[in-house]
Amino acid sequence: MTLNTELIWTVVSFVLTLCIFSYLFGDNPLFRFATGLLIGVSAGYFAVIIIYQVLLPRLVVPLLQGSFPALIPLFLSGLLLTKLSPRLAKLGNLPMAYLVGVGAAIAIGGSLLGTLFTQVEGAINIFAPVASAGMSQKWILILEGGFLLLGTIAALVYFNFGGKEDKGNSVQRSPMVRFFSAIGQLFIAITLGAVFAGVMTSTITALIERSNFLLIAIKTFFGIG
Amino acid sequence: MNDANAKRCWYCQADLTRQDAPAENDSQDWLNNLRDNSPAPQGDDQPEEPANSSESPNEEVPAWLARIRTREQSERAASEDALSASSEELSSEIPDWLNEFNPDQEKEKPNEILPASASAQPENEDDDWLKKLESWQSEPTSSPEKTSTDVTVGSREKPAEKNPIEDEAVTPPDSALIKDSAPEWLQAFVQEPKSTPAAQQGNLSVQQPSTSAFLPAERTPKNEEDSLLRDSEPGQISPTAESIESSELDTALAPSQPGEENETWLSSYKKIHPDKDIKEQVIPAPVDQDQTKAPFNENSLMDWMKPIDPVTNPSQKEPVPQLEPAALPAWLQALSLKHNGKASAPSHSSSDFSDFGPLAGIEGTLPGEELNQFYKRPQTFSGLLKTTESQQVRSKLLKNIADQTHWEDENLEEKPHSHIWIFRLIVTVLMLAAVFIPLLFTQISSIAPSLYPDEVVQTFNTVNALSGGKPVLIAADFDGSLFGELNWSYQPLLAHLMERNIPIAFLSTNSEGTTLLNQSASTLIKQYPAYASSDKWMNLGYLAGGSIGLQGLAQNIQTTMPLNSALQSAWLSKPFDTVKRISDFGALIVITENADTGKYWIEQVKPSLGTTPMLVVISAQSAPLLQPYYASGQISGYLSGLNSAVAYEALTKTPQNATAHLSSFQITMVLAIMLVLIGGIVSLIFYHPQPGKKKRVNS
Repeated sequence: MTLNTELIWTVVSFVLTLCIFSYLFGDNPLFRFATGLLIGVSAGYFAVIIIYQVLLPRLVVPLLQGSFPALIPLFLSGLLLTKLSPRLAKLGNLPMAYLVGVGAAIAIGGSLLGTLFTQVEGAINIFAPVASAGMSQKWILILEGGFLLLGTIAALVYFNFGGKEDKGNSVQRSPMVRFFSAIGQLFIAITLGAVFAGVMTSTITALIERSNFLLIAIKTFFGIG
Repeated sequence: MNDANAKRCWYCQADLTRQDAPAENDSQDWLNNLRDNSPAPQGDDQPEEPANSSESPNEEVPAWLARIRTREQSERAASEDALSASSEELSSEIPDWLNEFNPDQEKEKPNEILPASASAQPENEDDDWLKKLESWQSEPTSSPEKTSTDVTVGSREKPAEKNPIEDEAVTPPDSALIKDSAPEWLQAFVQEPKSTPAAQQGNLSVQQPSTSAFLPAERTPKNEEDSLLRDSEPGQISPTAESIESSELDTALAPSQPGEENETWLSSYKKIHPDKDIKEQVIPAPVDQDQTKAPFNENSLMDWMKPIDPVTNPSQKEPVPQLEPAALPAWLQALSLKHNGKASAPSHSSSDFSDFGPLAGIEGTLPGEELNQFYKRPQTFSGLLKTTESQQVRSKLLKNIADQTHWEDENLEEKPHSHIWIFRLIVTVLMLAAVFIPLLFTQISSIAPSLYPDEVVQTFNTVNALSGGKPVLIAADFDGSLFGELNWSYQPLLAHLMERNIPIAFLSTNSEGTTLLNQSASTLIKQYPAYASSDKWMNLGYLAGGSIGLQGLAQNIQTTMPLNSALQSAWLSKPFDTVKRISDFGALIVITENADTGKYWIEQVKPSLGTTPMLVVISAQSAPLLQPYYASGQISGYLSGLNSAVAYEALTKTPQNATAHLSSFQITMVLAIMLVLIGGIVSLIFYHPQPGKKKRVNS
């Protein structure tokens, strides 16, 4: 077995994986060391990425090439750094306002056009294939579309918190709303169950991948296979 | 500050060259300035000349003040020219007491003192016109005692010697000459009476009941002018010019009180001694508050400027409401030593010594213990939340909904389960056994899926339909936590792209994505050596800005990502030189473990893609949240987790890691499902929560 960088990184990965698996016995220094190392390395790596892939190509290089518009982000970045000082923190409000305002505008616009409108349109188009389907398929499509439409409306009704105050000074929703909200609660529970199943699938897949790595590493260390 | 060369003070009109000029002229100079409408003195030796020089704009004064002075000089020069022609006639015809204001006349008769016999005749004349004036008065309202105290500046004491002006004979002037050559105020007096027929009878008709305003107790030249001006006003006194003889005019212009009272207003001039400092004589010395008088003679003021005399004006006998004293805040008055009866002057009484506290024994300390009673508690405001009726209704509704759900009591004391680690260890051993046994024993077969999910098939068809010349953009937006799952999920898709020899450019909105993708693709690149070069495999690096960066990428990809990770131009070499917009890519593939990240790409970038398909490789835990976007057609297909990877490998007929570990995955999943079911059944059987403790108490 030759000592090369790949083997070194394999050993490091093997040891760190075992440190993470040590959480089986509760919180311990090995686990904390591995998590701390992960956080530190990630932060350092992120700083390097920012310098070499953001500051250099998008700020320093344009400035060296005489691009004066690059002075604008430089100025705003300088103002943003004043947030570190309590006395000069007000100067950083301008770039912060710019970032928050632009970010909010983009997020709201994207949510409206990319999610709200399109999802409403998708709920409407559930019954679109019915017109072109045959008689045998038509009822199936109608049932399928009706089921999806019922789930969508019922889930929305569940989150409707409108009601009237009765004689007992307690607020109750109308019986119709309570009926649909119960159906919506059922759909929401199914959705959360599916998400939980997906989490189980993801974690088990990750466990298999790490277990496979440990097995390969052990085979590599001992020269098996 | 006055100019160094000035001979007269600009502010108080005091002569600054008193020692050089004659004493009489000095006394006349400042008196002349007391009269606003008096004709300007003439002659080379007039004191106005040095005054004018001091008023030069060259003086270091503000510009506005210099303009005012320049204008005043021009007005004075104009008035001098107008009066120069008639000055000689006026000097001989107008009364001498008026001539005293003429410097030329004064120069001709300096310090002239008439004998006592000569002064008797004017007194007789004064008696005549005084009688007439007394006949005008409806009732004697002015008292000599009172007016005798109202003297001009420096005239509080009765003069010891007579002014020569008061003894000289008064020559009545001709009304025609006065009309032609008199100043404006005299012309007005002469012209106005013509319109009143009552005055033609030789009597001055008094139409106003109160004549005290018309006849002040003490007359000064200035006061005379004001009185005459008041007479000229219509509605009060309407004398006629024809009926007024020159003697009557002199009588009207003469002081109202003959004898000693008549000398009172003239006595002020006697007090000016040329040997003494004129400032000391002119400027009154500070006196007590009860003796303080106005800087100007009360009689020389206009009516509206005079203080209201309840004796002379019975209609205004009501006391004038006094201004309320300034009211200090209560707490400030309480702190005042004067208010507390403490003397303002420092005292050495024993009460000034504090006998307690850190200032004990120190003289002059404030009595802190007495101030405690004045301290008030600051006003506090309620911190209760104010809600509207509709908000309260919604709050009650939310409470009812929450009460319908049973929650485990968070406050339930957690019992120390000493045996829990045993269960944990058993579960761990079972799970590891389920994982490792299929890995060690490869002969254990798995159950391959016979039906493929629709989204996987659509993904496969989309990749199959891609044109070989168009590059594909891959967004590796994932971190290391679920890299193992995603690595097995996107490997068949990546292998499919490489098999079709499609150029690939990839970027990431987090720092680790491109590195992990580049590292995991290294094994595939060994299988497809063409992707070792930048012609087929280009790393664009990190895309900063989150959703803002995605928007910029959608708008102009060449500006947003001009360079690759090697800091070289990304869009100049083939095959990526054909990419001008993001829609020029053959497809966009997003690899992420977070549903929100996939949603951001769909929301921000998909509208700019046009007909370019968008595919997603996502973790299984986020797949249900991405399903609606596939159902709505916003994404063309997606792969989620190991199951989708196995299906894709089956479609491409290239089994890789996903298929190799399917058996382990299936066994572990079955075991996990069994543990969940067993745990649920055991919990259902043996776990009986007490309603009072383990359920949230419903109100």
